Amino acid sequence: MSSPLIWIFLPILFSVALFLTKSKRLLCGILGTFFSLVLAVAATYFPKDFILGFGSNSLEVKDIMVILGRTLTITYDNLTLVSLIFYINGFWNMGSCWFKTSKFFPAMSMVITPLLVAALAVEPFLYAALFIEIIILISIPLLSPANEKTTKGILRYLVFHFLAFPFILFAGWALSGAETAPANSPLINQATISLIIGFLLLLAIIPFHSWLPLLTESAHPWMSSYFLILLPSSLLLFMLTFLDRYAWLRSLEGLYPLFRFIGTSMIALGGALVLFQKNLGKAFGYALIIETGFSLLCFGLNELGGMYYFSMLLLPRMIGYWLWAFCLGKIKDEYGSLEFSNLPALMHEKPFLSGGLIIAQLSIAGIPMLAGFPVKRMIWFIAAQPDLVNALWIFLGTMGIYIFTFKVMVHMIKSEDAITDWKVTENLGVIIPILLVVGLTIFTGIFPHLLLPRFTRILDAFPRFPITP
Amino acid sequence: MPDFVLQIALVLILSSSVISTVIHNWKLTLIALAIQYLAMSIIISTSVPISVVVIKLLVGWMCCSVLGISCFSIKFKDGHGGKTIFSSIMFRILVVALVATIVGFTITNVGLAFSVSVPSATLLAASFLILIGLVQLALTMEPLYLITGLLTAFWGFESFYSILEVSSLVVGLLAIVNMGLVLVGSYLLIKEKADNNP
Repeated sequence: MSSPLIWIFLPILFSVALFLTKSKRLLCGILGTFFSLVLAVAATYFPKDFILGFGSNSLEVKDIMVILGRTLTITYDNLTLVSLIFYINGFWNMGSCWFKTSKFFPAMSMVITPLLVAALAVEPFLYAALFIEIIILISIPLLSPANEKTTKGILRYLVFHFLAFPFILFAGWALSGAETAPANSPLINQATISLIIGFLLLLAIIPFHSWLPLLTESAHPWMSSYFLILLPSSLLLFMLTFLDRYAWLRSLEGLYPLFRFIGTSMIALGGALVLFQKNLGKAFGYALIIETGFSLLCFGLNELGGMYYFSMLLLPRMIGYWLWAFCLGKIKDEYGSLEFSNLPALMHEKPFLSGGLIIAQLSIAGIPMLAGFPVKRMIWFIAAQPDLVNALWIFLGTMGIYIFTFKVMVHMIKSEDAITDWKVTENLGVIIPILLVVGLTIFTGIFPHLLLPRFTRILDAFPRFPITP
Repeated sequence: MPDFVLQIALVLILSSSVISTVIHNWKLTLIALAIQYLAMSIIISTSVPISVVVIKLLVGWMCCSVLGISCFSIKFKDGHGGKTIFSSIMFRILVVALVATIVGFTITNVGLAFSVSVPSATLLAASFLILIGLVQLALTMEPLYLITGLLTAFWGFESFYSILEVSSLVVGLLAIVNMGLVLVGSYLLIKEKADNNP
């Protein structure tokens, strides 16, 4: 028995069961949620050096599994990361019960999640690029189901990710050579440039971001949010693997200022662009760009403890995206569009959906009392330490989401018809999950110390990366 | 391998690239892609084990066949009824010429340093295919031509990468990725046809 068998091969086996029950959508969603959460809880509470005893026999759960000469390694330190990936999968499977998304989603998500875990666990890690590419290919039918038009967003998503793939593959090869190469070897420059271009394309870093808002505009918000929380979070951790592994890479001169510059630019430009959006889906895409900017900024602020805030930002982000995507998904299902011009004054008839949407946006923006605030506040403080101008740009970018949320609020309240009575048209099945997640958002915002510090354990998987608060 | 064979292969790559970039006809594009797979396989066979070359060639041809079968099954029609505008042809020819000039100049004058020696013919053909693939991607938003553009660019990279990385598992996984891309392409083609004829 080995941990890769439990968290990589077992879910793939589950996916077969889910595939067989795909016609029963609700059952499939519930089973997907159950399997994912069981695996997530198991990863959270799995003891170190676990040995199961049966009388005189014992069963040891090993960290390593060897397949075709390559190793898959999931150590005790990696388990927090694994649990996070399965929690995300579980909660998004749970949400899929409310939507008419692809009936293959629960089954495919149980292939995608273990492939992501495998990408983070495989040695040599040039194979990780291949796993990620397979995930991208699997995601296309889910993001663009057979009954929907093929949009520019989905095509660009495919093209940009596919173009990144050779760069990561080449970087993987060059890095394995650079390990033993002298300091002035051309391999080092080639690996660095390939890695930078690869991640620029994969993480939708400006100016390679055009696919992201187009995708969130056209794809179902539930599907796009699933991939856009799972992939960037895993890719950032994948990038951390490179930094952890190679001392020369993390000690490159100008690396951290570069991270800070890219992060700040993404926050500022994302904030400026979100301001002018007239489509709620597209605005969600720009908010994702801003969030990636915050993650990269945390990388750049590593010497000031930025990585702690990166890891603690994952939970508020997950809660915020869940709520945002849930409300957007319901609005899209109801009105068929997320364009402002096609939406009525929602607050008058759907106060819970519109309220949930606004709270999600404010939480991601980092308003006090909500989940995003405690960590964002710390990032704002430390971002000003190396350069005060950085903090100014971050402030301006954050203001972008605030002002956009205000615009959404005005649109949802303002009505050309004189509406005198406000009514609630959502059913309890929609109201209850919104209230629960809003409650969790407020709870995390008020008592961050109870939940967020657990997530810093993710960094245990990267023991060589200097995290010096 | 005699030099003239390599030269013929290079000419085949150049001419098939011109056809697939300039003429918007799905049959010609797929035939040109199949020729590119063959020509590039000849070029890399000087530095890569023949078994790997054969696998890559077969996978490439299978990709072309799958796309071809999909196009046949949906009775695919090119935009503008298969006709191409003259100014567009001229523009595309100029772009291909520009790419050929840039690649020729870069490889022969600037050169690229790798720890493993890559023959200059492979480097030349691979770089040309990568850039032509990117040009094709930039010039279209039709799923079929996007997929053929991606395959062209990726084949350029793969042929060069196969010299650097010799693992047979990588060869297998790259074959899966290629086939996966083509299946996604076929899915998008069939879906688009269904969208247009609900």
